[in-house]
Amino acid sequence: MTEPTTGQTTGQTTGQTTAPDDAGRRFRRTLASVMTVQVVTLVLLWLLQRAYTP
Amino acid sequence: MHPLNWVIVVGWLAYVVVHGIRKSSGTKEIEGYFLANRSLPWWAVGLSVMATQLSAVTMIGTTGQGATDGMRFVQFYFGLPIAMVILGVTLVPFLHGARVYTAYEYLERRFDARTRSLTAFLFLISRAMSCGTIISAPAVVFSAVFGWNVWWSVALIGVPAILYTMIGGVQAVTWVDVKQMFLIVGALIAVVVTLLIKIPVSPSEALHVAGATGRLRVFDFSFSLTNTYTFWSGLIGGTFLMLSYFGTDQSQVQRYLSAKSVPEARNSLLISAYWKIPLQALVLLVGVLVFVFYQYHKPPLLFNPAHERAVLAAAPAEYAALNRRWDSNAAPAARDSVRAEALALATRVTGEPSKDVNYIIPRFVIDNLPIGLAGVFIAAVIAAAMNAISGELTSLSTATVIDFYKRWIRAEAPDKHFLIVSRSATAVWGVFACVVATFAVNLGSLIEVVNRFGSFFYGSILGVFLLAMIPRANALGAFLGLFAGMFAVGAVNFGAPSVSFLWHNVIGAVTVVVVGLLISAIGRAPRSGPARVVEA
Repeated sequence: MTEPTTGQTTGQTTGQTTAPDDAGRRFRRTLASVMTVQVVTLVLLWLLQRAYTP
Repeated sequence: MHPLNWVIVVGWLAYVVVHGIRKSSGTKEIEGYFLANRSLPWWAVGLSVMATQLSAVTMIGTTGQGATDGMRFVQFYFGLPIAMVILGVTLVPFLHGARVYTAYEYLERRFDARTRSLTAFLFLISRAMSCGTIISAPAVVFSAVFGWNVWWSVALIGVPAILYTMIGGVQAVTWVDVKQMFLIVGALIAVVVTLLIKIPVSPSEALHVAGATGRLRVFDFSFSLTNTYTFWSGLIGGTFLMLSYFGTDQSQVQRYLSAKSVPEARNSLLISAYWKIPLQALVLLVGVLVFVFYQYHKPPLLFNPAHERAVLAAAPAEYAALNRRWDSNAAPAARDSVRAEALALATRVTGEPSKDVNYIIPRFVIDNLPIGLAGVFIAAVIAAAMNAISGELTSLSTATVIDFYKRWIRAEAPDKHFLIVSRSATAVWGVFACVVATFAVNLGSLIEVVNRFGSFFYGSILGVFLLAMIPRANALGAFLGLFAGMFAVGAVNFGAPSVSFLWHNVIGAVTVVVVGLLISAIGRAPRSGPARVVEA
C-alpha cells in the first residue's frame, strides 16, 4: 500500500524529502512511548496480582 | 443530593453547551461540520477519541464490574494498542488520503454501491442502538437514585449533547471532549483519594482484602472460547474488535479523518491508545476499592435506591429481617446468600429484574463523597455520556447524509442545503437514541451489552474492509461475504451461546474474507484493485 503524500505538492523538493522522514520518525517515537506505557502498565498489574493474590 | 452538587452539575452542563456552540464557527459547510475542515491537531483528536471511549457506561458499568468481578475485565483492552498500530500503518493513511467523508464511501470506489449501502446501513443500526444504550446507562441510574421519571434523566443527558452536536458538528464535539476528559479523570482521581482516606486500613491492607477475594487477579492465561475475560480472548478477539471499531466504525473513523494530515491522523490514533489500558485499570480499581470500602462499612442490601424504597414500602418486615441476618453473620458466603435473597425480594416487589451492578458506584458517591465532589462525579458521568453520544451522533448524521441522502436522493445541492439536512439528521438520530434509551433498561452489565451488540456486526464489517485490501476480491464476493459473516456469527450466537462474544469478531471477519475470496475466485475479475490514493 502506498503511503500518500497528501497536502504536498510536487513543487516542493528538498522540503518534501525531509517531511515524510520527520513524520516517520515522530510516528516511531510516539509508537515507542505508547508501547512503553502499555508494557509498564502490564508489568505493574502483574506485580499487583503477584503481591496480593494468594 | 445537596444543592451545591446540583449547582456544579447544572453549571458544567451550561458551560459545555455554550462552549460547544461557540465552537460552531467554521462549520458553515459540510466539510467544516463533519470533518472540522481537516484542521484539528492530533492531540485534540486523540483526547477526543479517548473521551468517546470513556462513556458513562465505563464510569458506572465498569466500576460496578470492578466491584463485583475485579480487575480481569482490563484484559478486554489488551488488543487495543496492537490494533492502533496496525491501523496507523494500513487503513488510516488509506482513508485519510482518499479524502472521503465516511469509511463506507471508500467501499463504493473499491467494490460497488450496494456493498457501501449495506455496510453503512449496518453501521447506522448498530450505532443508533448503541447510542441509546449509552444514554440509558446513566439515565436509569439517575432516575433510581434521584427518584425521577426516566424520561427526565434521558433528557438531562441527551438534550445538551444533541444541542451542541447539532449546532457545532465535529469541531464542537472535539473541543468539548477535550475539556470533559480533564473533568472525568479528575473525578476518578478524587474518588480514589476519598476511598483511600475512608477505608480504615492502609492501602496495602486494603489491596490484601481485595486480593483475597480474587479481585486483583488481572491475568488469566487459560485458553477458553467460553470465558470472555482471558488474556487470549482479549489479545486476539479484542484486537479484531478494536480493528473493526477503530478502522471501520464511522464514529471513530470520522475523528481521524478530521486531522490535519495523515501523520497527525496516525498520531491521534496512537495517542488515544496511550492511556486506554492504564485508565481502564484505574476505573476498575475504583470499583475494587469500593468493594473493600464496604467490607468496613455496612453496604445497603439493595444498591438500587428505587428498589430499596419499593421494598421498604411493600415488605418492610422482611427487609428488616434480612438486614438483621446481614448484621449477625459476617461470613462472605452467608452475606452473599442474604444479598441474593434481597435481590429476589426486590424482583418480587417491583416486577423488574433486580441488577445491582450499575448502582454500586452512584450509591457510594451519593452516600459517601464530600459535598461538591459528589457533584463533580455526577457531572463527570453526564460528561462521559455526552462525549460518547456526541461522537456517535455526528457519525450517524455523516453516514446518513453522505452514504444515503447525497448518494441516493440528492447528489447536488448548495452546501447550505446539506448543512440543514445534516443538522436535521443529527437531531432525528438524537431523538431516536433517547427513545431507545427509555426501553434499554435493566440489561445487566451495560458495558457488556454494548460490546456484545457491536460484536454481532463489527467482525463482518472488518472482513469487508480486509477484502478491500486484497486485489483479487470483487464486489460480489464482498457483498455475499458480508452476509456469510453475519450468518456465521448468528449461527454461533444462537447455536453455541457459550462461546464468548469477543470471538464473534474473529469468526465474522474470517468468514467474510474466506467466503468473499472464494466467490471472487469463481466470479468476474474485480473492476479495480485497492483504490490508489489520490495525491492532492
